[in-house]
Amino acid sequence: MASTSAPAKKPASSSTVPAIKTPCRIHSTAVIADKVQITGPHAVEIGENAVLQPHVKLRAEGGKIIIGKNTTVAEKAIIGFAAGQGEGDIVIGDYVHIDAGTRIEASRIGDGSSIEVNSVIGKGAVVGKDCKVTALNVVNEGEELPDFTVVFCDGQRRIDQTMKDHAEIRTAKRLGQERTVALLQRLIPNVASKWL
Amino acid sequence: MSRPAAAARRTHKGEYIETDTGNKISRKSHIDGKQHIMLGGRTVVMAGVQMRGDLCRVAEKSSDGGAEKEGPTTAIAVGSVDVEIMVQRGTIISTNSVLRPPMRLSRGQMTCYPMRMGDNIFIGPGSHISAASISSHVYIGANCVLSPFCVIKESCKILPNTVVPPHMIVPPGSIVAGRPGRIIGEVGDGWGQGGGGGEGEEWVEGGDLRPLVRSIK
Repeated sequence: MASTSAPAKKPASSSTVPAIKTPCRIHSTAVIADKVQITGPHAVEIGENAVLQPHVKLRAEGGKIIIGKNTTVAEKAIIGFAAGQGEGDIVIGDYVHIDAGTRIEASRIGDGSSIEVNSVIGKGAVVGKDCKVTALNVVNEGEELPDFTVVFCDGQRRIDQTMKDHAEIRTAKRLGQERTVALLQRLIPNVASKWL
Repeated sequence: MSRPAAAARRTHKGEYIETDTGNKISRKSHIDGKQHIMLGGRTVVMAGVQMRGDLCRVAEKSSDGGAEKEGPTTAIAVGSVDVEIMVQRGTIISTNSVLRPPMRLSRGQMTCYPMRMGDNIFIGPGSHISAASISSHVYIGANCVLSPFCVIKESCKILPNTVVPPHMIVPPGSIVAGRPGRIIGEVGDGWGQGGGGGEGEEWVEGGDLRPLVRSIK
Protein backbone atom coordinates (compact mmCIF):
# COMPACT_ATOMS: atom_id res chain seq x y z
CA MET A 1 0.00 0.00 0.00
CA ALA A 2 1.02 3.59 0.23
CA SER A 3 4.50 3.52 1.68
CA THR A 4 5.23 7.17 1.16
CA SER A 5 7.59 8.68 3.68
CA ALA A 6 5.05 10.88 5.37
CA PRO A 7 6.04 12.29 8.76
CA ALA A 8 5.04 9.40 10.99
CA LYS A 9 4.23 10.10 14.62
CA LYS A 10 6.75 7.51 15.68
CA PRO A 11 9.70 8.89 17.61
CA ALA A 12 13.03 8.19 15.96
CA SER A 13 13.77 4.90 17.67
CA SER A 14 16.84 2.74 17.35
CA SER A 15 15.00 0.25 15.12
CA THR A 16 16.43 -0.43 11.71
CA VAL A 17 13.16 0.29 9.90
CA PRO A 18 13.01 3.84 8.63
CA ALA A 19 10.17 6.01 9.89
CA ILE A 20 7.63 5.06 7.25
CA LYS A 21 3.93 5.44 7.59
CA THR A 22 2.25 2.17 8.49
CA PRO A 23 0.14 0.95 5.58
CA CYS A 24 -3.35 1.20 7.00
CA ARG A 25 -6.63 0.07 5.54
CA ILE A 26 -9.32 1.66 7.65
CA HIS A 27 -13.00 1.21 6.89
CA SER A 28 -14.85 4.49 6.44
CA THR A 29 -17.16 3.81 9.40
CA ALA A 30 -14.32 3.01 11.81
CA VAL A 31 -13.46 5.55 14.51
CA ILE A 32 -9.84 6.23 15.38
CA ALA A 33 -9.42 8.66 18.25
CA ASP A 34 -6.78 11.30 18.37
CA LYS A 35 -3.61 10.18 20.23
CA VAL A 36 -3.85 6.64 18.90
CA GLN A 37 -0.42 5.37 17.93
CA ILE A 38 0.01 3.07 14.97
CA THR A 39 3.60 2.05 14.32
CA GLY A 40 5.55 -0.53 12.38
CA PRO A 41 6.07 -1.52 8.78
CA HIS A 42 3.35 -4.18 8.52
CA ALA A 43 -0.21 -3.69 7.36
CA VAL A 44 -3.00 -2.66 9.73
CA GLU A 45 -6.59 -3.41 8.78
CA ILE A 46 -9.46 -1.98 10.74
CA GLY A 47 -12.98 -3.20 9.99
CA GLU A 48 -16.27 -1.39 9.87
CA ASN A 49 -17.57 0.30 13.04
CA ALA A 50 -14.43 -0.56 14.97
CA VAL A 51 -13.52 2.01 17.62
CA LEU A 52 -10.01 2.76 18.84
CA GLN A 53 -10.12 4.98 21.90
CA PRO A 54 -7.37 7.46 22.93
CA HIS A 55 -3.87 6.20 23.74
CA VAL A 56 -4.31 2.81 22.11
CA LYS A 57 -1.07 1.51 20.67
CA LEU A 58 -1.10 -0.69 17.60
CA ARG A 59 2.38 -2.01 16.99
CA ALA A 60 2.60 -3.70 13.64
CA GLU A 61 6.31 -4.37 14.18
CA GLY A 62 6.21 -8.15 13.94
CA GLY A 63 3.29 -8.79 11.61
CA LYS A 64 -0.07 -7.66 10.37
CA ILE A 65 -2.80 -6.51 12.73
CA ILE A 66 -6.39 -7.12 11.65
CA ILE A 67 -9.25 -5.76 13.73
CA GLY A 68 -12.76 -6.96 12.90
CA LYS A 69 -16.18 -5.37 12.72
CA ASN A 70 -17.79 -3.66 15.74
CA THR A 71 -14.73 -4.19 17.89
CA THR A 72 -13.86 -1.65 20.56
CA VAL A 73 -10.40 -1.14 21.97
CA ALA A 74 -10.24 0.97 25.13
CA GLU A 75 -7.59 3.41 26.26
CA LYS A 76 -4.00 2.33 26.97
CA ALA A 77 -4.44 -1.08 25.36
CA ILE A 78 -1.37 -2.28 23.50
CA ILE A 79 -1.84 -4.61 20.56
CA GLY A 80 1.24 -6.15 19.00
CA PHE A 81 4.88 -6.61 19.89
CA ALA A 82 7.59 -4.07 20.38
CA ALA A 83 10.23 -4.05 17.67
CA GLY A 84 12.27 -7.24 17.81
CA GLN A 85 10.15 -8.79 20.56
CA GLY A 86 8.28 -11.26 18.38
CA GLU A 87 6.74 -12.04 15.07
CA GLY A 88 3.34 -13.11 13.84
CA ASP A 89 0.08 -11.71 12.67
CA ILE A 90 -2.59 -10.68 15.13
CA VAL A 91 -6.19 -11.24 14.10
CA ILE A 92 -8.93 -9.82 16.29
CA GLY A 93 -12.45 -10.95 15.34
CA ASP A 94 -15.79 -9.16 15.20
CA TYR A 95 -17.69 -7.85 18.25
CA VAL A 96 -14.62 -8.11 20.47
CA HIS A 97 -14.40 -5.87 23.49
CA ILE A 98 -10.86 -5.04 24.59
CA ASP A 99 -10.74 -3.09 27.83
CA ALA A 100 -8.27 -0.56 29.18
CA GLY A 101 -4.64 -1.35 29.79
CA THR A 102 -4.63 -4.80 28.21
CA ARG A 103 -1.64 -6.20 26.37
CA ILE A 104 -2.55 -8.34 23.39
CA GLU A 105 0.10 -10.45 21.68
CA ALA A 106 -2.25 -13.28 20.73
CA SER A 107 -2.33 -14.64 17.23
CA ARG A 108 -6.12 -14.80 17.23
CA ILE A 109 -9.00 -13.55 19.32
CA GLY A 110 -12.37 -15.03 18.36
CA ASP A 111 -15.61 -13.21 17.67
CA GLY A 112 -17.59 -11.87 20.61
CA SER A 113 -14.82 -12.29 23.18
CA SER A 114 -14.15 -9.74 25.84
CA ILE A 115 -10.75 -9.04 27.33
CA GLU A 116 -11.09 -7.04 30.52
CA VAL A 117 -8.96 -4.48 32.31
CA ASN A 118 -5.19 -4.93 32.54
CA SER A 119 -5.17 -8.56 31.41
CA VAL A 120 -2.41 -9.99 29.24
CA ILE A 121 -2.80 -12.36 26.31
CA GLY A 122 0.58 -13.93 25.62
CA LYS A 123 2.42 -14.45 22.38
CA GLY A 124 0.77 -16.79 19.90
CA ALA A 125 -2.19 -17.57 22.15
CA VAL A 126 -5.49 -18.40 20.48
CA VAL A 127 -8.63 -17.18 22.23
CA GLY A 128 -11.83 -18.84 20.99
CA LYS A 129 -15.22 -17.35 20.30
CA ASP A 130 -17.29 -15.70 23.05
CA CYS A 131 -14.53 -16.06 25.62
CA LYS A 132 -14.10 -13.79 28.56
CA VAL A 133 -10.81 -12.98 30.23
CA THR A 134 -11.60 -11.09 33.41
CA ALA A 135 -9.55 -8.32 34.94
CA LEU A 136 -5.85 -8.81 35.77
CA ASN A 137 -5.74 -12.34 34.33
CA VAL A 138 -3.05 -13.77 32.08
CA VAL A 139 -3.39 -16.15 29.15
CA ASN A 140 0.02 -17.76 28.67
CA GLU A 141 2.10 -17.83 25.52
CA GLY A 142 0.84 -20.27 22.94
CA GLU A 143 -2.18 -21.27 25.01
CA GLU A 144 -5.41 -22.13 23.23
CA LEU A 145 -8.66 -21.26 24.92
CA PRO A 146 -11.64 -23.21 23.54
CA ASP A 147 -14.83 -21.34 22.65
CA PHE A 148 -16.93 -20.00 25.57
CA THR A 149 -14.07 -20.17 28.09
CA VAL A 150 -14.12 -17.82 31.04
CA VAL A 151 -10.82 -17.03 32.75
CA PHE A 152 -11.70 -15.81 36.22
CA CYS A 153 -10.42 -15.37 39.79
CA ASP A 154 -6.74 -16.10 39.90
CA GLY A 155 -6.37 -17.83 36.54
CA GLN A 156 -9.11 -20.48 36.86
CA ARG A 157 -10.86 -21.55 33.69
CA ARG A 158 -14.32 -22.88 33.00
CA ILE A 159 -16.73 -23.14 30.08
CA ASP A 160 -19.66 -20.73 30.13
CA GLN A 161 -22.43 -23.27 29.55
CA THR A 162 -25.17 -20.64 29.51
CA MET A 163 -23.44 -18.76 26.74
CA LYS A 164 -22.81 -22.01 24.88
CA ASP A 165 -26.39 -23.30 25.06
CA HIS A 166 -28.31 -20.13 24.39
CA ALA A 167 -27.86 -18.41 21.06
CA GLU A 168 -30.13 -15.57 22.17
CA ILE A 169 -27.67 -14.57 24.91
CA ARG A 170 -24.92 -14.34 22.34
CA THR A 171 -27.18 -12.24 20.12
CA ALA A 172 -28.01 -9.95 23.05
CA LYS A 173 -24.32 -9.54 23.83
CA ARG A 174 -23.60 -8.54 20.25
CA LEU A 175 -26.48 -6.09 20.33
CA GLY A 176 -25.02 -4.52 23.48
CA GLN A 177 -21.68 -4.21 21.73
CA GLU A 178 -23.37 -2.51 18.78
CA ARG A 179 -24.95 0.00 21.13
CA THR A 180 -21.59 0.66 22.77
CA VAL A 181 -20.10 1.31 19.35
CA ALA A 182 -22.99 3.67 18.51
CA LEU A 183 -22.34 5.67 21.69
CA LEU A 184 -18.59 5.82 21.21
CA GLN A 185 -19.03 6.95 17.62
CA ARG A 186 -20.99 9.93 18.93
CA LEU A 187 -18.54 10.79 21.70
CA ILE A 188 -15.13 10.24 20.19
CA PRO A 189 -13.91 12.61 17.49
CA ASN A 190 -12.72 10.65 14.50
CA VAL A 191 -9.30 11.37 13.06
CA ALA A 192 -9.06 8.25 10.90
CA SER A 193 -8.13 10.39 7.91
CA LYS A 194 -4.77 11.04 9.54
CA TRP A 195 -3.80 7.42 9.00
CA LEU A 196 -5.01 7.00 5.43
CA MET B 1 2.94 43.34 29.40
CA SER B 2 4.50 40.24 28.00
CA ARG B 3 7.52 40.35 30.31
CA PRO B 4 5.79 39.62 33.64
CA ALA B 5 3.66 36.97 32.03
CA ALA B 6 6.75 35.17 30.80
CA ALA B 7 8.30 35.36 34.26
CA ALA B 8 5.12 33.99 35.83
CA ARG B 9 5.15 31.11 33.43
CA ARG B 10 8.71 30.26 34.33
CA THR B 11 7.75 29.72 37.96
CA HIS B 12 5.30 27.01 36.85
CA LYS B 13 7.95 24.91 35.12
CA GLY B 14 7.62 22.06 37.60
CA GLU B 15 5.87 18.81 36.87
CA TYR B 16 2.57 19.99 38.28
CA ILE B 17 0.30 22.76 37.15
CA GLU B 18 -1.31 24.26 40.22
CA THR B 19 -4.72 25.86 39.93
CA ASP B 20 -6.27 28.59 42.08
CA THR B 21 -8.14 26.04 44.17
CA GLY B 22 -4.98 24.09 44.87
CA ASN B 23 -5.44 21.29 42.37
CA LYS B 24 -2.15 19.88 41.16
CA ILE B 25 -2.29 18.35 37.75
CA SER B 26 0.71 16.69 36.20
CA ARG B 27 1.76 17.82 32.75
CA LYS B 28 2.18 14.16 31.89
CA SER B 29 -1.42 13.21 32.64
CA HIS B 30 -3.82 12.44 29.81
CA ILE B 31 -7.10 14.20 30.32
CA ASP B 32 -9.82 13.93 27.70
CA GLY B 33 -12.97 16.05 27.73
CA LYS B 34 -11.80 18.41 30.44
CA GLN B 35 -14.99 20.46 30.21
CA HIS B 36 -16.81 17.52 31.80
CA ILE B 37 -14.44 17.06 34.74
CA MET B 38 -14.81 18.91 38.01
CA LEU B 39 -12.03 18.92 40.56
CA GLY B 40 -13.04 20.21 43.98
CA GLY B 41 -9.71 21.59 45.06
CA ARG B 42 -6.51 20.15 46.54
CA THR B 43 -6.72 17.23 44.17
CA VAL B 44 -3.52 15.75 42.82
CA VAL B 45 -3.53 14.13 39.39
CA MET B 46 -0.20 12.43 38.86
CA ALA B 47 1.71 11.52 35.70
CA GLY B 48 0.20 9.03 33.27
CA VAL B 49 -3.28 9.28 34.73
CA GLN B 50 -5.97 8.86 32.12
CA MET B 51 -9.27 10.62 32.78
CA ARG B 52 -12.05 9.97 30.27
CA GLY B 53 -14.19 13.05 30.69
CA ASP B 54 -15.30 12.71 27.09
CA LEU B 55 -17.47 9.76 28.07
CA CYS B 56 -20.29 11.94 29.33
CA ARG B 57 -24.03 11.72 29.15
CA VAL B 58 -25.22 13.06 25.83
CA ALA B 59 -28.27 15.27 25.57
CA GLU B 60 -31.10 13.38 23.92
CA LYS B 61 -33.90 14.73 21.88
CA SER B 62 -37.27 14.21 23.55
CA SER B 63 -40.14 12.73 21.57
CA ASP B 64 -41.85 16.08 20.94
CA GLY B 65 -38.89 17.27 18.95
CA GLY B 66 -37.47 19.83 21.34
CA ALA B 67 -34.22 19.26 23.17
CA GLU B 68 -34.76 17.68 26.55
CA LYS B 69 -33.66 19.64 29.55
CA GLU B 70 -30.43 18.08 30.63
CA GLY B 71 -28.55 18.46 33.86
CA PRO B 72 -24.87 19.25 33.84
CA THR B 73 -23.03 16.69 31.79
CA THR B 74 -20.31 16.06 34.30
CA ALA B 75 -18.51 12.82 33.69
CA ILE B 76 -16.09 12.79 36.60
CA ALA B 77 -16.52 14.79 39.78
CA VAL B 78 -13.77 14.66 42.37
CA GLY B 79 -14.20 16.26 45.76
CA SER B 80 -17.32 17.82 47.19
CA VAL B 81 -17.84 20.25 44.36
CA ASP B 82 -21.33 21.41 45.27
CA VAL B 83 -20.98 21.41 49.04
CA GLU B 84 -20.43 24.74 50.74
CA ILE B 85 -17.65 23.52 53.02
CA MET B 86 -14.47 24.65 51.38
CA VAL B 87 -11.97 22.80 53.55
CA GLN B 88 -11.49 19.06 54.03
CA ARG B 89 -10.50 18.29 50.52
CA GLY B 90 -7.63 16.47 49.06
CA THR B 91 -7.79 13.51 46.78
CA ILE B 92 -4.76 11.89 45.26
CA ILE B 93 -4.87 9.98 42.00
CA SER B 94 -1.53 8.20 41.62
CA THR B 95 0.46 7.44 38.51
CA ASN B 96 -0.95 5.48 35.57
CA SER B 97 -4.46 5.17 37.00
CA VAL B 98 -7.44 5.24 34.66
CA LEU B 99 -10.68 6.99 35.57
CA ARG B 100 -13.41 5.96 33.21
CA PRO B 101 -17.10 6.70 33.76
CA PRO B 102 -19.19 3.51 33.64
CA MET B 103 -21.70 2.87 30.87
CA ARG B 104 -24.73 0.63 30.57
CA LEU B 105 -27.86 0.17 28.51
CA SER B 106 -30.68 2.46 29.48
CA ARG B 107 -33.88 2.77 27.49
CA GLY B 108 -32.35 0.86 24.61
CA GLN B 109 -29.32 3.09 24.37
CA MET B 110 -25.87 2.81 25.82
CA THR B 111 -25.47 5.67 28.29
CA CYS B 112 -22.51 6.87 30.30
CA TYR B 113 -23.11 7.63 33.95
CA PRO B 114 -21.26 10.25 35.97
CA MET B 115 -18.69 9.15 38.49
CA ARG B 116 -18.71 10.88 41.86
CA MET B 117 -15.81 10.92 44.26
CA GLY B 118 -15.57 12.43 47.73
CA ASP B 119 -12.72 13.93 49.70
CA ASN B 120 -9.49 12.51 51.04
CA ILE B 121 -9.46 9.55 48.70
CA PHE B 122 -6.17 7.95 47.86
CA ILE B 123 -6.04 5.98 44.62
CA GLY B 124 -2.95 3.82 44.26
CA PRO B 125 -0.80 3.61 41.14
CA GLY B 126 -2.05 1.61 38.17
CA SER B 127 -5.64 1.39 39.38
CA HIS B 128 -8.62 1.32 37.08
CA ILE B 129 -11.65 3.15 38.43
CA SER B 130 -15.08 2.77 36.83
CA ALA B 131 -17.08 3.09 40.04
CA ALA B 132 -20.42 4.86 40.23
CA SER B 133 -19.42 6.61 43.40
CA ILE B 134 -16.62 6.63 45.92
CA SER B 135 -17.27 8.32 49.26
CA SER B 136 -14.79 10.17 51.43
CA HIS B 137 -11.82 8.75 53.33
CA VAL B 138 -11.36 5.75 51.10
CA TYR B 139 -7.95 4.23 50.54
CA ILE B 140 -7.45 2.26 47.32
CA GLY B 141 -4.22 0.30 46.95
CA ALA B 142 -2.08 -0.21 43.87
CA ASN B 143 -3.32 -2.02 40.73
CA CYS B 144 -6.91 -2.30 41.92
CA VAL B 145 -9.78 -2.62 39.48
CA LEU B 146 -13.07 -1.04 40.47
CA SER B 147 -15.50 -2.51 37.97
CA PRO B 148 -18.38 -0.50 36.51
CA PHE B 149 -21.10 0.72 38.88
CA CYS B 150 -19.54 -0.43 42.12
CA VAL B 151 -20.21 1.88 45.05
CA ILE B 152 -17.62 2.41 47.76
CA LYS B 153 -18.98 4.00 50.94
CA GLU B 154 -17.07 6.02 53.54
CA SER B 155 -13.84 4.95 55.20
CA CYS B 156 -13.17 1.80 53.23
CA LYS B 157 -9.84 0.28 52.52
CA ILE B 158 -9.26 -1.64 49.31
CA LEU B 159 -6.09 -3.71 49.44
CA PRO B 160 -3.73 -3.82 46.44
CA ASN B 161 -4.59 -6.02 43.41
CA THR B 162 -8.26 -6.25 44.33
CA VAL B 163 -10.90 -6.62 41.64
CA VAL B 164 -14.15 -5.17 42.95
CA PRO B 165 -16.93 -6.82 40.92
CA PRO B 166 -19.47 -4.78 38.95
CA HIS B 167 -22.40 -3.31 40.91
CA MET B 168 -20.92 -4.30 44.28
CA ILE B 169 -21.84 -1.99 47.13
CA VAL B 170 -19.18 -1.85 49.80
CA PRO B 171 -20.64 -0.76 53.17
CA PRO B 172 -18.86 1.90 55.26
CA GLY B 173 -15.72 0.89 57.06
CA SER B 174 -14.97 -2.35 55.20
CA ILE B 175 -11.69 -3.83 54.11
CA VAL B 176 -11.97 -5.39 50.66
CA ALA B 177 -9.47 -7.77 49.08
CA GLY B 178 -9.17 -10.56 46.56
CA ARG B 179 -10.17 -11.44 43.04
CA PRO B 180 -13.15 -11.09 43.01
CA GLY B 181 -13.20 -8.61 45.86
CA ARG B 182 -14.71 -9.76 49.14
CA ILE B 183 -15.19 -7.98 52.41
CA ILE B 184 -12.58 -9.45 54.69
CA GLY B 185 -12.92 -7.21 57.71
CA GLU B 186 -13.58 -3.82 59.16
CA VAL B 187 -11.24 -0.92 59.52
CA GLY B 188 -12.26 -0.48 63.15
CA ASP B 189 -12.22 2.60 65.32
CA GLY B 190 -9.60 5.21 64.80
CA TRP B 191 -9.38 4.75 61.01
CA GLY B 192 -7.90 7.86 59.59
CA GLN B 193 -7.16 9.45 62.94
CA GLY B 194 -3.46 9.22 63.18
CA GLY B 195 -1.57 10.63 66.07
CA GLY B 196 1.16 10.57 63.50
CA GLY B 197 2.93 7.32 62.71
CA GLY B 198 6.65 7.69 62.61
CA GLU B 199 8.94 10.56 61.91
CA GLY B 200 7.68 12.66 59.01
CA GLU B 201 4.51 10.58 58.73
CA GLU B 202 2.04 13.38 58.89
CA TRP B 203 -0.71 11.62 56.98
CA VAL B 204 -2.50 8.35 57.53
CA GLU B 205 -4.54 6.15 55.23
CA GLY B 206 -8.12 7.33 55.19
CA GLY B 207 -7.24 10.42 57.14
CA ASP B 208 -6.75 13.98 56.09
CA LEU B 209 -4.57 13.93 53.01
CA ARG B 210 -3.79 17.62 53.03
CA PRO B 211 -0.23 17.23 54.34
CA LEU B 212 0.47 14.74 51.58
CA VAL B 213 -1.07 16.99 48.95
CA ARG B 214 1.08 19.81 50.23
CA SER B 215 4.24 17.71 50.05
CA ILE B 216 3.72 16.87 46.37
CA LYS B 217 5.51 19.41 44.24
